[in-house]
Amino acid sequence: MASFEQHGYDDRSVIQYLLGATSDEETDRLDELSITDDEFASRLRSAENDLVDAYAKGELEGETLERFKSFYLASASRLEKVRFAEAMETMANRSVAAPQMHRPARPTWERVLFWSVAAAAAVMLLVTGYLVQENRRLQREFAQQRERPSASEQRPPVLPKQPDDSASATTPPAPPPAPKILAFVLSPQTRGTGSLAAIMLPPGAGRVVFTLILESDDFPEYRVALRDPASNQIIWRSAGLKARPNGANRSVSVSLPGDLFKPQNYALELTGILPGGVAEFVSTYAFRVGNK
Amino acid sequence: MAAGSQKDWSLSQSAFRRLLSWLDEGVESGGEKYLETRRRLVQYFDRKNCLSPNELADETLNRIARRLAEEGAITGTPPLRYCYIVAKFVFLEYYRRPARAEVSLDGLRNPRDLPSHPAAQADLVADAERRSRCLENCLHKLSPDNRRLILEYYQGDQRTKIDNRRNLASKLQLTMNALSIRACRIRDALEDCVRKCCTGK
Repeated sequence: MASFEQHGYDDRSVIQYLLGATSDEETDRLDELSITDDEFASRLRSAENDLVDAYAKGELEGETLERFKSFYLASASRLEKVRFAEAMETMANRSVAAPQMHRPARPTWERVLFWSVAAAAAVMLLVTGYLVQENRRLQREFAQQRERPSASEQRPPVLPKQPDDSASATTPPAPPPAPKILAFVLSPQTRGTGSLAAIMLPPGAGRVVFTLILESDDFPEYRVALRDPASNQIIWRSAGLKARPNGANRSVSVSLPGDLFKPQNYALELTGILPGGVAEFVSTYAFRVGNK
Repeated sequence: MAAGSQKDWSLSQSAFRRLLSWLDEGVESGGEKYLETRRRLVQYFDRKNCLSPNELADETLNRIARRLAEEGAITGTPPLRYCYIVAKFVFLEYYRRPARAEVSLDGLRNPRDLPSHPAAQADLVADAERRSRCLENCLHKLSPDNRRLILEYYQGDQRTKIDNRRNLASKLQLTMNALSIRACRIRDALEDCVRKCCTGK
């Protein structure tokens, strides 16, 4: 730490420097060190990465956050670094929570890679198979709901289709293991809608499949984003999705990792993609998550 | 050096080789020292909110290369310190330029403050999706050791992250500083790969 002792800087002053909050004299001194001093240059680099990661994770607050927004983000290349960090964070959020065992947890990214390669195929196969069965039931339910005048006026979301629920009433001794996949059907949010759709997620839910009923199918491809209304953050995004027949309607199905959700409100935002890549907002599907 | 002649002068192969050799200070780095110096200069100009940090970094190195070409050597000042002195002049000239454009914030936005227009939101979503796909591809291009290191290095939040890094440094028998340098290099390469992937280069 010769450089540290010799040149008298610490983590705090490095962060202040990155946020443009040091005096002119100190800025000049650290400017010079940033080019001439190998140790300071590497420390600066590392501190900057950690600062950007902290912002992407929502860990910054107060004056540091304000300085970050007003100073740090006023540069295209620094904004690019933030987007990179957010992409890393999004990847981490996409990971499927493995059961908490008494063994060292896999690194978050490693889990992401693992699941993206191995589990994605397997889980999606399961999802598809499950949905074939589930959709038949859901289509019937949806058609029935549409036939009820009061229900169609309010356009209530068709709520949880959680396999094994029916069994729990007659077989009380031990709670059934948490289902790996839960499926829900949501209708688009309309103005003046009454209560928010509520879904119950048991701890350890592996995947949550949402079938979003379309009012009309006007796009060759769709994308879905999950928004946390409290922070106004997009916390998950899908790849391109195709609409499929769903009874008399069309729907888009999307599978999300269960560990994304906490007991709070969420909104799935559906975007249509035109052939030229132009994206158009289609609808919002709001819901509330509760714990089982 | 007259401004007009600076613009007329162009970097030849031999002038560039001389610049590399001068930066290496007798220890052949295979161009690494040049790349690292240029990177530091770009960051310096970027922190000053200059509009074209890459161009200003190249301008700095060109001026040094030209002096080396004309005078054969630069003595009395260590290379990196000399680079800083020239960079400071380049920055002051840039700053005093009458036509210097202010940094436009129009094209910049806080990624958390999503635009309200749905189409613009969708663009952001599409952009983030492309970036995520690129990141996954780029991670797969890393060597297994580097991939493991970068994944573990940035794992966890706050205190957990620090503890993870200590454990990782111990496992790899590296100092924390050496580990940090290695992780930053891998991250730089990853960022570069993602940038190229996103822009289709």
